[in-house]
Parts: sequence; structure tokens; C-alpha cells
Amino acid sequence: MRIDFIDPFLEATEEIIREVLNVEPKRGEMELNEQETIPDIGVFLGLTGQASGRMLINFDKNLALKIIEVMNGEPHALESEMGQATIGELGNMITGRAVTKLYEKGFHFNLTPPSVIVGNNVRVSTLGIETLSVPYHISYGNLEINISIKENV
Amino acid sequence: MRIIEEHINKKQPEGLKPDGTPYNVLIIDDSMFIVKQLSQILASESYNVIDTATDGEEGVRKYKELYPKVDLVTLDITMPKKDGLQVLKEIMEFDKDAKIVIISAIGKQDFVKEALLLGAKNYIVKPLNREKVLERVKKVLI
Repeated sequence: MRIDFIDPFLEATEEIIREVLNVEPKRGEMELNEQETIPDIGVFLGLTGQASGRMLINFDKNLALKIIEVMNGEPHALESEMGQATIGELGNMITGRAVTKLYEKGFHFNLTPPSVIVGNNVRVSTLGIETLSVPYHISYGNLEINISIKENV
Repeated sequence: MRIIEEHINKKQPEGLKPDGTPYNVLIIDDSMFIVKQLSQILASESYNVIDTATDGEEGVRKYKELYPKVDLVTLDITMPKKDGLQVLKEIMEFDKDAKIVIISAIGKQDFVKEALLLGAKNYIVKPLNREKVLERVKKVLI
């Protein structure tokens, strides 16, 4: 996976978290995985265009509930339609910002609409495509972004 | 005298036409969160959300059904069934005077250019805030 594909996703995640929650996210150590787990709630977005792949953003329950409350001005349950729509929209904003940054670097990607998965340690296989995982600690909880991109040949 | 001063100083909400009736807005967006956020922002200035559509096909159909009552459309780009640029094209073919504001998480210059070339009147990149939305919407309706 090309490293210049990755930076825009990290920058976009950090910018959107700052803008929405007004807190500073702390980036942890990156690692490569072939399997992922969604501990509480995750949002998938597909990437098409110059390369294909997808982004999975995982939120722990405390962080997800805080994001839902801040973005709506009132609390909603993780299982509620509005709770999931809010997390989906945050994922859309992060990935949309990343796609815009990639475009500015000369890489052309488009997005598919987000899908939100709520569950308890749901396992996701990437079917052999390597995934770069980057954890973030935010004062309300933890977030992890997982990026899988395969260049089209 | 005080009553006259209060009347003069009272600002008319931006969502009302000079005749006092509200501008009608059609929101086309697949995110329930954005529909709610936009509806609240627009209602705070007395705009009337005449209807909402959660995918592109429904958006085109509702615009045609409601014609000529819709004064402004807010349109998402990434949507199921039909994307926002296709919806924009179809609405502009149906009504060349349609006033459409694109609202998207994607701010790529080629998207913005294409949307403006196809007839969109403005382009807002998310996240949304009240001031940004009201300022762009007002600009399009003046």
C-alpha cells in the first residue's frame, strides 16, 4: 500500500475530530493486519477510482455516545437510527475530507455511501488485502481507522 | 413611538419572502443526521422544508411532483441509486431555473467545477454550521 495514500486519511481524521469534538486526538502506533474487529460500532466506506479499497472506522462505545451527543445537541442510543446515522455521517466527513486531500495530491478517488455496523467484537476479514490500522486516543474514548487500498492495474 | 421603533428594528427572518410567505426547501440527502441538522438550521430562520428525499431517484421525482413550489434544493453528492451530480443534471434539464445548493463531504475541485457547470448555484463542504448554511442559502435566493 502506498504511504502517500495514507497521510490524507490520518490528517482528515485528526482535523474532523478537532472540528467536531474540539479535542486533540493522540495518534498511536500503526500496524498491518489481515483481520479486524469491531468492538462496539464501526463505519465502512468504500473507495473507488484510481485504486479501490475501503476504510473502516471503529469507535468504542463511550466515544461514539459522546460524538452522537455533541453532533445532535442531545443523546441518542448507539442502537437508534439517529445514533447510527450520526456515526455514519462522521465517517463520511472524515473520508470525504481524505478524498479531497488525495485529489489535491493528484490521486482520484470517489466514495460509496457509509454502512454502520453495531455489534460486540464483530470480526471482519479483509480476505488477504493488508489493512493499515491506526489507533487514536481521544479524551472521551478510543477510535481506530483501518485502511485497505489496492491499486488498480 | 416605542412600538414603531420595535417594528423598525425587528429583522424579518431570512427564510421569508417579501410577502411574508416562507421559501420552500427540498432536502435531498441519504443521511438522517444531515436532514435533521439542515431542517433545524433552516427552520431557525423560518424557511419551510417542504419535503425530504433520501436517495437520488426520489429526489428527482419529488422535485417534479412539487414543481413549481420548490424555491431551493439542497443536494448531497454520495447517495444510493442515483448520485447527486446525475440528480443535478436531471433537475436542471427539467427546470433550467432551479436553485440548487450542493452539500457534500467531498470538496474536490473537479466535483465543485462540474457541479457549478451543470447549474448548481453554490457548494457547501461539510461539516455544516449554521452561519455557513444560512449565508450560502441567502446568497442563492437573493
